[in-house]
Amino acid sequence: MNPVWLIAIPLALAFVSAFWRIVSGWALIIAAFFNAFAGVFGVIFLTATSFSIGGWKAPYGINLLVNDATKLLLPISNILFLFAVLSYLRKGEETTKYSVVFLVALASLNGILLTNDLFNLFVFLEIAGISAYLLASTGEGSDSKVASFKYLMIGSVGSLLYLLGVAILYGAAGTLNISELAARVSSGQISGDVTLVSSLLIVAGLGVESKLLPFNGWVPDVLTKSSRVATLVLASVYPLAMVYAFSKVILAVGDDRVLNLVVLLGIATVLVGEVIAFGQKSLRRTLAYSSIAQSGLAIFLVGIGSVEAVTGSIMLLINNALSKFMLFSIDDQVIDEAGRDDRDTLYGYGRKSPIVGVTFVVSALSIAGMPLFFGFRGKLNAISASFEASLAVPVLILIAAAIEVTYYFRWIFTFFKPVGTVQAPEKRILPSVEFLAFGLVLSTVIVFLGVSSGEAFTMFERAADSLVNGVLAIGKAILGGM
Amino acid sequence: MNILFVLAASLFAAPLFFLISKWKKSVAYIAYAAFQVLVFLYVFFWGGTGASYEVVGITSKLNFNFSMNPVNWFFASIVMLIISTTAVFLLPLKKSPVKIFLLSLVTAGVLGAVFSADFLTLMIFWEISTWSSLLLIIQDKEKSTGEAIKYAAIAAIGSYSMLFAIFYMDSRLGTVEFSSVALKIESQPIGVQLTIFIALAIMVLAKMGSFPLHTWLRGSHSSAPDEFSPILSGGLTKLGGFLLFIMSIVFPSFKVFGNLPLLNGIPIVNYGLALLGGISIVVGTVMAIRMEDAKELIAFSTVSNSGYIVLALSIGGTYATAGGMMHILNHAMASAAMFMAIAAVAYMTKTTRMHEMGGLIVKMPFTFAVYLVAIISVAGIPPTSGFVSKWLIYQQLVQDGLPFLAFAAFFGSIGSFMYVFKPLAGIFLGQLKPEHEKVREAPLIMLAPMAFLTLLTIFWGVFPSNAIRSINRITESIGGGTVDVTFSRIVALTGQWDSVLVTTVFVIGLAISLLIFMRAKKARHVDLLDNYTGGDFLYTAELYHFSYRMYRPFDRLFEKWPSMENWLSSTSEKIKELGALFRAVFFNRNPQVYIALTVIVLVGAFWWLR
Amino acid sequence: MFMNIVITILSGIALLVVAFVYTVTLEGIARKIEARIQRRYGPPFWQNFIDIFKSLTKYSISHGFIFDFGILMALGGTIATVFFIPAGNLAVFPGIDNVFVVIYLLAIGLLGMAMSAVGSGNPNASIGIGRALAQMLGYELPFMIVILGVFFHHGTSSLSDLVSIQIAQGTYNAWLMPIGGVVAFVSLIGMLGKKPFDTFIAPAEIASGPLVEYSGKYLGMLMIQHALATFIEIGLFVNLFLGGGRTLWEFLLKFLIVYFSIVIISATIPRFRVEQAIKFYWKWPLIFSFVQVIIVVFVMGRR
Repeated sequence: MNPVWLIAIPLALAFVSAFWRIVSGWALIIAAFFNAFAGVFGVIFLTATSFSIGGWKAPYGINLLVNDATKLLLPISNILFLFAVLSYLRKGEETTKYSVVFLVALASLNGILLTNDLFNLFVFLEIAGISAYLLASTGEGSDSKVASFKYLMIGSVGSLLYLLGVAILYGAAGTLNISELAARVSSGQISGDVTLVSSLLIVAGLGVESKLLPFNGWVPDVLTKSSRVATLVLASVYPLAMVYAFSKVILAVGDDRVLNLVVLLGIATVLVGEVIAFGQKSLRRTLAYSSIAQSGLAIFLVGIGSVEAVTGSIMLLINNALSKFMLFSIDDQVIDEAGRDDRDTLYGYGRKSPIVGVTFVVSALSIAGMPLFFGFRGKLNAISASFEASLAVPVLILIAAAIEVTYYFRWIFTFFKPVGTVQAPEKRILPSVEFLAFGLVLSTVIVFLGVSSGEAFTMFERAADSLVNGVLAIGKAILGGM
Repeated sequence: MNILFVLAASLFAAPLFFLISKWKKSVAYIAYAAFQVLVFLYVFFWGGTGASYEVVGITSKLNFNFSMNPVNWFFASIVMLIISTTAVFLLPLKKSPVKIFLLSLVTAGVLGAVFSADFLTLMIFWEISTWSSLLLIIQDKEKSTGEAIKYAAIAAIGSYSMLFAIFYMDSRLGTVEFSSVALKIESQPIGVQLTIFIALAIMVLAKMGSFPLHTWLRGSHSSAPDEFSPILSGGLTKLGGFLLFIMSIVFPSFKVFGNLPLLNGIPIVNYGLALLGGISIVVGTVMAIRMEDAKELIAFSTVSNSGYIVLALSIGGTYATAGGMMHILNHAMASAAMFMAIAAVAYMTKTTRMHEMGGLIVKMPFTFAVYLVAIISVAGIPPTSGFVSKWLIYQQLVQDGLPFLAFAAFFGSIGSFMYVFKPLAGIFLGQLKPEHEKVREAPLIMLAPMAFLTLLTIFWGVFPSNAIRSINRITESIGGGTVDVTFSRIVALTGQWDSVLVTTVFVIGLAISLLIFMRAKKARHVDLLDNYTGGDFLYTAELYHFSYRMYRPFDRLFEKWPSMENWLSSTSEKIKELGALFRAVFFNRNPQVYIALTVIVLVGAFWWLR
Repeated sequence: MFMNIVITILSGIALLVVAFVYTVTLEGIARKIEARIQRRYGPPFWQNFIDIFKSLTKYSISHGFIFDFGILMALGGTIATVFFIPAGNLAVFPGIDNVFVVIYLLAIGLLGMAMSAVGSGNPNASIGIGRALAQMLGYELPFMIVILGVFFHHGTSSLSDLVSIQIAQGTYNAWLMPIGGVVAFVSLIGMLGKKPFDTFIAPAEIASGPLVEYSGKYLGMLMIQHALATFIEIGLFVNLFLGGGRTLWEFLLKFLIVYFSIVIISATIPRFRVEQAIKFYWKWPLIFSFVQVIIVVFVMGRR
């Protein structure tokens, strides 16, 4: 199956539902299901890796690249998107009202994951960005509109910077194909100044979406104020695609000096994110800043650039997606039931609703990196790889990790604080069926990946290898072939 | 059947017990207790085979490594002894499926940790037991969440320090297995050695509850469910002792740090660590004397005894090492017995505040006896095993001529008379409160494990040679010296004593006084309220039980002492303030700030990088 | 082998009898000395014997099992400890009388008395015991540090070995380590519970503290215990710092000198409060004990 269907179907259905409002809800569901299934079955069994669009062979035309990394990330992104859509299908009209936006978002995210062309990436980034701005404004009240506006401003600046960087690179290299550019950059054909400037601009541009400091000012407000499904998509599916795009491009065309800068910015992101998250009193804000920190972790590993580091990056990325999906869902449950999510409201919530409590523990401990959970494996790789740079890197990362563990445990304790007494036992609260189902699936995946033996992890290593070395290899092949 | 099988069974037992207890709680708990006893028997009798196993799996380069050396056997036997006795003990207490699940996870983690043969395996299993114990602590009491967060924070500090050490080791030495690291560490530059040593030492101090990372013990032990406190104090903290002992094997520190300045023949790094242990002894003792709640008191006693273990294992030398190892055994047993006795009392009277009780010796004599022997052991009085370990440590201190550390050791020993006596006086002696008239002795299922630990304490006090020979085998197997011991006599550097002789003489003394006692006229038994009060009569028992603030004069001496308890919360406040600052800078309300930052970073980066 | 056991038993009995008779006699004489200092006549010097035997023949009350058992433990532990003190050439267990064993066995005695006293149910007793334990932390510390220096220097912690070393080399530890000797002497006053450190008895304040509920045989046994404890503590000091004695009589003479010095000092001083006592001990005696031991470890070295 040509993976372009993953992009085309949602886009087509988006046009359909734009004009034909009645079927818009159904269109979204159909597209989500199709993408999920196609993402899993269609992609995993692909043997060919490069698909050209419109018959133009690479590097003259746009091509879609399916390597080990995309084979891993595409299914996960699409399935999470499906879960997100299904979660609030019964309860809200959100998906029907904004179905066009969701469909376009789905299409663009798949495009970002698949594309191997810098300008194509810009297009999809713009589309994804605009969808994101619209999704961000879906929350009730005016706050979400303000948040969306801020996002719009910095997002626009970011994408312009990215375009500028791409333009400079194109001018110097004459091609927009990522693989070929990788080969040209690594062979030194392009002057150092050009790569430096273009890499810097690209980092800035992609950094906005990837939540890199200091470009991530939009994150807390957007993630806290937007509506339920939108938050789920923005917090779990978007980071997968955006950070992957960041990794793909920077590893391919990045200047070595800029990679060091990326490490620095990544660590700064982690530290700032964790420190701010530590003091937050609302669960949602804590999760928002935690998301920033997790992105920072994934990105600084990309900056280090070795296979081990990028393996850790991919693992952490996926772990973050799975866990944040559950965590934000839990937060939604709480707000649905109690209206707020500060510490007082949450006291003893885990005892009133054991399922929610257990899923919270599983996802929180996975992000905090406790053994028996998936996040621990990723963290091990991350720490191991962080010793390749200077010694200060692991020290800072571990300090941030210690802060993270502390505040996650504080939230876990809040959930399980014994508040009922023998005379007045806590009443039971049942979560929604969808939450039960998805929570169960995702928790099982996290624990399974946490305890499975090393062989299961070769898939992550292959993914990393394809990012670090594979792209370059393809590029050299193209160059050689020309 | 090997240890891998047992470990896997332990891990899978956790969800299994959870499911069983959803059906019927008592069955699950009995199954858990039986399983632990079986594991203990297996470990004790077949645990020292010397086999080692490698299991693939952690990352692409590192695997799990397990071994069953005498060292593993020693520590495993101690922790499994504590866990299995507690598992039987807690059968009458309140049960819940969550608790049995977490308990099983804790024990699985502990088991994996003591049989590990490399640092990463140790770390992983230790972490499993840490996070499950964190969740277990908050199960019962409301105030426990505030206390448990201190445990979480300090455990995080320790764990990440150890992770740092592990991967640093991996990047410099290429291995994290104990034996390989021991071979390669000597050739490394001093900076590397020091870094690894200090990072691991931070983990030891954090997990054993030793100064300056001791502030978590008080809250966690006192607010933990009663059945978990013995395991926390007698089992989990001893894992820190395991790491410390491994460190002393892996870092032949006298050679490795021998080029650093020496103090009395001890490298300054070791001396520093021993000094921290000494301060821990003093701080723990003083704070214990000031406590009003029995469990908080025993928690600080744990701080103090952890200090002894750190001190003994840091200064090195045959006798100190043997003393330290024996102290790990002794304190595990004594501390578990003390917590169990308090738990039995709390089960019957529903309180652990000492001044709310009194006179319970008439109602719970066996519990009293257990507690008495335990405190005699903690205070280090013959003929219990506590004296043996302390005596060995003193011998080394005298021989090496270390006055400041000896001061700390003596302070801890003498001060412990004070704080162990307080619960005895407050809970068991004195006037019986009217509301406790109906209190009965604890059930047999609780008495039996306590009695077992008491008998062991006395046995190893009268025949310490039994325990010391095992310790000799261990130290010999790693190339250390051995303690000169015959059937009943221990010969040390500056003296010798004969345990059977001392016990016999003590019995003779008792016999003589018993003779005098019997020959004199029989006394008339009177009620406790019939007391000398200068001519008045007593009616209300509560007013005449002197236990609250029993050591008030002593307390007043230390009122102005600086307290370490607040350093954690002040650090947390600082972090929150820093967070607010970051938020103001990077996440300002105005989007112009974001654009400005972007431009500044870009321009600055370009200027810096070109 | 069998002869050894018989000799041990006989010397043990002899030591016990000597300790009891001599100490009680000295106590009686001490009362006379104290009285004369305070310009009274005082009771006859055999008064304490009368007190003890009279008490043992009287009826008394008991407050329960622990009340009885504690007394047994107190007297039993103290009697057991007496056997480990060499008195001149009368040493029951030469070579294996380790000082730490002595100190901790003595602690059993204290613990027994503490349990029994608190078990009487009288708050005065508990107050007294609380003070006694707190004060113990005061006087034991300088003492232990000084004797650490003694053991380090001579390389042994066995009492009889230390005695023979001092006799052999001709100088007593009190001249060898004078500061330590003085500190140990001051600690000894605290150990004996004589003024100014008798706050735990405090006759007029807390009705004799721990002793408040004892009468009859209990009081008698406690008096015996007190006498034997005095013997042990002063004997410890004489053996450690004054060279014990070549013969029993030399030992008893030194014992007498030390005891009466303490009695004379005590007769003229009022008592400290508990925190004053602790603060006193933790100031100059502790400082000097550290000074002494640093001199021993770093300047004098091993013998």
